[in-house]
Amino acid sequence: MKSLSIRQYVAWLTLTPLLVMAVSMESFFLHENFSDLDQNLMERGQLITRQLASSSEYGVFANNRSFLKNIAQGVLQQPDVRGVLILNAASEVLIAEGAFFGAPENTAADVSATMSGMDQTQTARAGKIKESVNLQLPVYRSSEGLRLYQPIVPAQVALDEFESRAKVSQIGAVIVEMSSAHSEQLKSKVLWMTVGLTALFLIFPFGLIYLGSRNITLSIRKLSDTIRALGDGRLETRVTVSATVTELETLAHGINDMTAKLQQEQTMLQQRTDTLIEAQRIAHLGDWEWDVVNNTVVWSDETYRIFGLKPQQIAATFETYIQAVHPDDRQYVENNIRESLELARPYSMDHRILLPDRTVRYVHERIEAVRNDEGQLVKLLGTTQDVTEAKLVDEKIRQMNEELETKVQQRTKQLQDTQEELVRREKLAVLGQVAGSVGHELRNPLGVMNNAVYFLQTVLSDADDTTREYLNIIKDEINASERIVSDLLDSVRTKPPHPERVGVRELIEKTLSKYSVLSSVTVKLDIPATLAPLCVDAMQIHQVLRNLISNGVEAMPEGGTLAISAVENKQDGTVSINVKDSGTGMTTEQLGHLFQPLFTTKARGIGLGLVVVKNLTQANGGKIEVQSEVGKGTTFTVVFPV
Amino acid sequence: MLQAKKFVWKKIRVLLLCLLVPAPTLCWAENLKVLVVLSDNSAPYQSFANSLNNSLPALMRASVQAQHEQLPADLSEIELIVAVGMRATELAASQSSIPVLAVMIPQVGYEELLEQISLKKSPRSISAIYLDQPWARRLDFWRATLPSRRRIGLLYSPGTHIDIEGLRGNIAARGGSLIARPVLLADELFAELESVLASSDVLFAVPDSMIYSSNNIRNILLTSYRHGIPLIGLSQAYVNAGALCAIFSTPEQLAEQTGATVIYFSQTGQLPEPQYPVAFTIAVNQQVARSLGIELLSLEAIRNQMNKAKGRAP
Repeated sequence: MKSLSIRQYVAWLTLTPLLVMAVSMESFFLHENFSDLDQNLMERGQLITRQLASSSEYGVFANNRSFLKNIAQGVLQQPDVRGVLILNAASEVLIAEGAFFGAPENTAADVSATMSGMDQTQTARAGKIKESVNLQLPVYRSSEGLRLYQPIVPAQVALDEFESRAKVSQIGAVIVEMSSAHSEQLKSKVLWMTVGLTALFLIFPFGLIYLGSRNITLSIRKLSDTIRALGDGRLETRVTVSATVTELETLAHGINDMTAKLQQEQTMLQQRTDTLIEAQRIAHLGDWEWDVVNNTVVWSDETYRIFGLKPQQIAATFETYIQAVHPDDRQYVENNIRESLELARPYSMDHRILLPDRTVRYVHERIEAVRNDEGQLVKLLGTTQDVTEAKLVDEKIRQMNEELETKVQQRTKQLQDTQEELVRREKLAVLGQVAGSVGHELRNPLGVMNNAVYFLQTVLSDADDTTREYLNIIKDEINASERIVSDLLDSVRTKPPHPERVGVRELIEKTLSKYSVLSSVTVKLDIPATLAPLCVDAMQIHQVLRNLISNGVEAMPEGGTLAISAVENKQDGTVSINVKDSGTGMTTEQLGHLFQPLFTTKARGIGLGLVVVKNLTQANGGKIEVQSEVGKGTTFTVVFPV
Repeated sequence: MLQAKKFVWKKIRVLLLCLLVPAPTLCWAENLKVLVVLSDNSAPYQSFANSLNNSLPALMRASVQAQHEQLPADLSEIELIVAVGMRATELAASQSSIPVLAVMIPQVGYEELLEQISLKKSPRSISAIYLDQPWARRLDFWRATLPSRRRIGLLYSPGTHIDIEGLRGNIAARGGSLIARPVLLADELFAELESVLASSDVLFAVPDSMIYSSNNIRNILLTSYRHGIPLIGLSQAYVNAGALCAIFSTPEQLAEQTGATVIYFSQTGQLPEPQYPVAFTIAVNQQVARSLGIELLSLEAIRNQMNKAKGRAP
């Protein structure tokens, strides 16, 4: 329904009953007037007809047509009389004057002609006029007027006939046709006059009411404008009503008071909202509301900010949210939301979002479902918190923890190594002291024993083979013991090197020349001639190479290949010497203890050889590396600066 | 004053009639039970009934019954029925054997009725006092009133029993002539009237309801005026309607004559022969007379002329 202004409404309320009343009254009066006009026409027609009938009595009785014609013409002079027909007792037309509706204008003449010698058409016309009215139906109405029938009965003159009085008999009839044209003109005049008066009747009170209600309507319009302004948020608006209507004045005061309070509360609310927005901004916490019934989503400013959007640029919808979720997390988020909708339980989740500038941010979502009284889900309320910084901090912490852990492990290992080193050094110190004293004490007897064996071999040069064999064995064992003593002494007391330029190939070949390799072991050399010479203590490096070759050969008791190669790395200025065997190899644990003193994998070793190798290599500015795989063999690499 | 005079004369006449009868009869007459039956309650009949009671002795009051379909069941004490009008006469004659005196009926009607009831009633048990005047009196009236107008026009319908030839003779005896035309159909009335008026000096109305009725009298009068022919009517109503003059008997005159007849019946036990009214009234319309250029004698002079003519009558 169309809304109306108060003035229109007042006008409507005023005009409607007035209009209804005026139209009803005027309709009634018009009906009465029209009825009166019709009735007047009818009464005049009846009067004229009765008078004509009365006047025509003698003319009809005497069949005096000239007399009747004069009467009929006189009647035609009467207003609205259109036609006159006078009939005798046999309904024969005696006189026809004027015109009749529903018939040609010359009907009367035709009918008159019928009196002398009418044809069938004329007879039919006269018959139609006569048949339209009769004693039973004395009035015939049409749009053009009235046709009235009046029987001509003799005027009764009372005679002393007593009960033998003759029955009144009809001696003829008159038919008078009254035209309604004049009545219709009057009706039209009355109608227009009535319409005009009605309009005046409506305009006058409407004007009065309009003027009278102006104070009220103006005041109400002011109130309406004020309410509209308040609705638009202009709470500073105040209304001033100068109406004489107390209720409106009270209403204006009430609105002003209410507006003042509203303005105060709005200010407070705005402050709180600003605070909340600021808090959200600081906390990177936005809120949103999803009306699942109407599929409308409302985001707070901070939510927009978190998603890198502006409210003016894009409407907040569920699709907008989903599109902003990082593609890798999208399925996860959709599953969670779907689960929340189905189970209608609060949930929270962390996921990534992809900002328009392709920046990845981390958000923490908390969602709660809201149901109506019927238990139907109506909306989802949620918060979105930008936790990117926290995530990064967590990641940093995690990395730092890992690094710390690594460092701790390294430190622990270092401490362990240090401790082990200390232990080893302590062991070595003890061993050194023991080895120094023992070695010194053993060297003399071993020297004596060696001299003695040398004497015996010289003396017993003719001895049998067994004797010579045993003498050789004693001699070998004495040599082995001397090496052990030497190693033992070298391991605890490394002599400072005396570097000199020496070729790698020379070093290797010289070492191999002094070591007898088992026949089951194949030695392969790959030593380029272009290698730069090393600046090392040749004696110490010979000992290093001899120990590595000895270990490799001993690792292949069943035989194998001992590959010795050398490579120069010109970038860092080093030369690497690799000694690779195809022996049994070592486990990782074995590798961890490989350079510890007194650790050995050999049945007859004492665990000092590699310690000596390492000590001597490092003493010459090099380093030693080892790679081993069980079942495939071990490769020792010593790297020396050129 | 005139009414009081008439009333005194009426009483005197009744007393004279009573003196004429023997004393024993008088005694018997006082006990006569009379029932007056009116055809209707019209004013003339009511006037007649009232006048009749006034004209009868105090002990001979007649009980009056307006016209009904039937007579009262108990007529055992009734000795005479006075039937006023044709309808009452037919009722009384057909439904009782009590002697009936019919009054205020035309002669023609009585004669027709008498023919119908002749087998049921003895001629002596019914009699009548006619309403219409005897032709001799009417003709005397014509002669006294319009002595210069000799040609009498007369219209009659076939149902009217008029002895035209006898009438023609009576008129001729008085120096006049009769132009009589029958009206066979109602539509022919105007034509016949025109025809009669064209050759007449005066038009005589006769008791003929087909011609002289309430319907036609106005037009007949208009037509006669147009011809300058006066109409001699049958009652005061004719004069009032425009007739030049009329001779007739009023209900009071008839009641007086009836009262005398009742007394006669009470004394003799017999009804007299049917009779014309004894007393009559003359009425003239001076306005009509002036319109037609007729100079009328005074009523007294007319009555004197009539009396003279009656004395000369054969």
